[in-house]
Amino acid sequence: MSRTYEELKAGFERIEAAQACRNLMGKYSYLHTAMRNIDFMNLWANREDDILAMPWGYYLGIEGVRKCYLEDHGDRSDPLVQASPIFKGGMMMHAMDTAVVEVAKDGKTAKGVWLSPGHESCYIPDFSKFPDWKKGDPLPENLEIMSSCEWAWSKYYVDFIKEDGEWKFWKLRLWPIYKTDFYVPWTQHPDMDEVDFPFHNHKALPEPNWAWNKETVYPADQPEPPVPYEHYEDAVPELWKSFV
Amino acid sequence: MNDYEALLHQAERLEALQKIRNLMGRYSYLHSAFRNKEYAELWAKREDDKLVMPFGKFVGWEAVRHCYVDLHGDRNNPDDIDELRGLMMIHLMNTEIIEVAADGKTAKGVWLSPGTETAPQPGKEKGAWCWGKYEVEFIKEDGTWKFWHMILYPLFLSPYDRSWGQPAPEKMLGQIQLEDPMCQPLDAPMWEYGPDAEYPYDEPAMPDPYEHYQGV
Amino acid sequence: MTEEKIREQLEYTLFKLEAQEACRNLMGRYSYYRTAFQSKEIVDLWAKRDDDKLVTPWGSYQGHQGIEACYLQDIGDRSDAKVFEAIKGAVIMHEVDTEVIEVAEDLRTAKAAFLSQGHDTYVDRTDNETVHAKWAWEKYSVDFIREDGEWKIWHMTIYPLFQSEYGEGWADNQTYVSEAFAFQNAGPEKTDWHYDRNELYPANEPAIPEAYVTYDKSSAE
Repeated sequence: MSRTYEELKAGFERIEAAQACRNLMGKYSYLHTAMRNIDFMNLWANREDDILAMPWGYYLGIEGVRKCYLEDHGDRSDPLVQASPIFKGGMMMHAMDTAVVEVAKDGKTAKGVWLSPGHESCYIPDFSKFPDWKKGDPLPENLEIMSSCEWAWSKYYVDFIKEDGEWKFWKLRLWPIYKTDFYVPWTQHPDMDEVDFPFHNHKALPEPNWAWNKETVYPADQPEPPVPYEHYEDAVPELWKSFV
Repeated sequence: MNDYEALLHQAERLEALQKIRNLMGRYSYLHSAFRNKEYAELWAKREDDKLVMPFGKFVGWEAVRHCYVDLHGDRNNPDDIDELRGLMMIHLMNTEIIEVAADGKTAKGVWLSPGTETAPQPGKEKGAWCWGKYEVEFIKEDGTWKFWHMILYPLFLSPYDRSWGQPAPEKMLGQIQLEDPMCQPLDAPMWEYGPDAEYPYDEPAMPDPYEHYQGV
Repeated sequence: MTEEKIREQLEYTLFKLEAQEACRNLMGRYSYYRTAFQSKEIVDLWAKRDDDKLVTPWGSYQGHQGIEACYLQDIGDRSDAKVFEAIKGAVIMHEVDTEVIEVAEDLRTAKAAFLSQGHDTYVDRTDNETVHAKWAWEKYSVDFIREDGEWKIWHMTIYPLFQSEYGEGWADNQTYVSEAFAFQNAGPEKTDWHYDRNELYPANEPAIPEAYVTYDKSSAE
């Protein structure tokens, strides 16, 4: 069946869109590792219905996304970030692969899922010699710094939208799989809960993250690979219903 | 008005994306299999080829060929076989950003490369984690996409049971400047991970859409 | 070129590009469904042909019936209560990247190669409920075919690279598949390569696809 000029044009646009989405995930990864969160913000659609759902909580609207990346995380240009223990010696790296990308037939939105093997490496104080120390106490003298290298695997479901002719992040759900010291099996410390993260501007997740357990079954729909669709309005992912 | 010529051009640029992705994939498989003669043929035969490795810089196709075929070895060279036994060097390619120039003549891409190196060499005997990043430029030569410039930024190379955050007792093979007539010194030392290291701003340099490559 | 010729060429190119996306998506879906033990969905990714073939480190399966036997009987689907019980604590995760994809000039088939780093986590209920957390890296050689207007998996070979418990080096481990698992329907052909410090790494596993005309005829001929 031969396609009209318009159909051909739309077809090529959709292929271009799929690459634009892959490029966006790549940019996200490289910018995040470089702590260039101001630049990363430019990749988000400037909309009130943006959703950013992270392992520790979620953020709504472009203002929420800004709070996450520019306040909770900060940018490498911030003196506060430069003074933090994860700046020098920090390397938080999240690869992106195993993509399934579907661009809507109308060419206005796209959906994608990715796996993300990675690692989080930094240097942190070694409190093991000070078992009675708790957060808020003055820092002990002779506190040594130690290497912390953790394997960190996660996965993404993402909706993208075309805004002023450019593809942008629109809604993003990041699920943790595990984060564990390189010398510890992930079955011994799989959890990543709100308390593990030093962030404040989020809303609480509607339900706890799945974490490995001998008695639990891996979830069927985290993420749910997208299927071909025409218009986003007729195929809104169930996932977003609980992030309000 | 239907602009079929513009559509043809767009189609060519989109085809280029898969050709480039395939080139990176072929690099990975050929290099792991020590089919480096074949891999060298995937490079443009130009004097301005440039390959920057953690152990030095190679300029021009002959130097690139020398790096891979002579220094790394090829399974079709009987003299190389003994040294290649027991080497399992696996380098994945993911996290791509690819931009094909608007003029369709060149392209730029970056990749993350998680990997492992297993070899009867100090630090690799039981297996070692080896992660790196690639910043690559491609050029169309006689109608075929080829490698043109490549930088391999090392991230870490550490035995499976050693934290990559701990200073290694000594550098492993591939991390030290090589003394070789066709291997030039690096313009600057490569970034190394450590307690005082600030992660680089733009390594790899992420490509943005661009019109054409100056001088091409 | 006449406008008609240009249009034909564009049609052809677009078809090829869409095929590449479809094949990539198929591998992605395979990975996600595999981890979730959504084996019925995996079966739907395969062509319904007698010449389907799956070769794995534990054995091989021929034809669509063989594919069903592998995924629905040997591995099982999470909707089956017995399987659901058995897969508690199991996370079999194999990401997919490093692709080379070539769509045939006749647009009927495609050939691809992929790499995969991964990890297998499971509870060995034949051995005191011992928990295993293992690194598991592998490689894929995949053929795809167009069936009733949709791309499907046609042939797949899974080559093991290495596997080891998290805290062990992998160089000395020769087994890829634990004996805790039984694959009743698997045929004898298998990919059981393992690293050996005295051997040369294989030349062509996976076979790196080259441009080709039809499935049996390469472009170089």
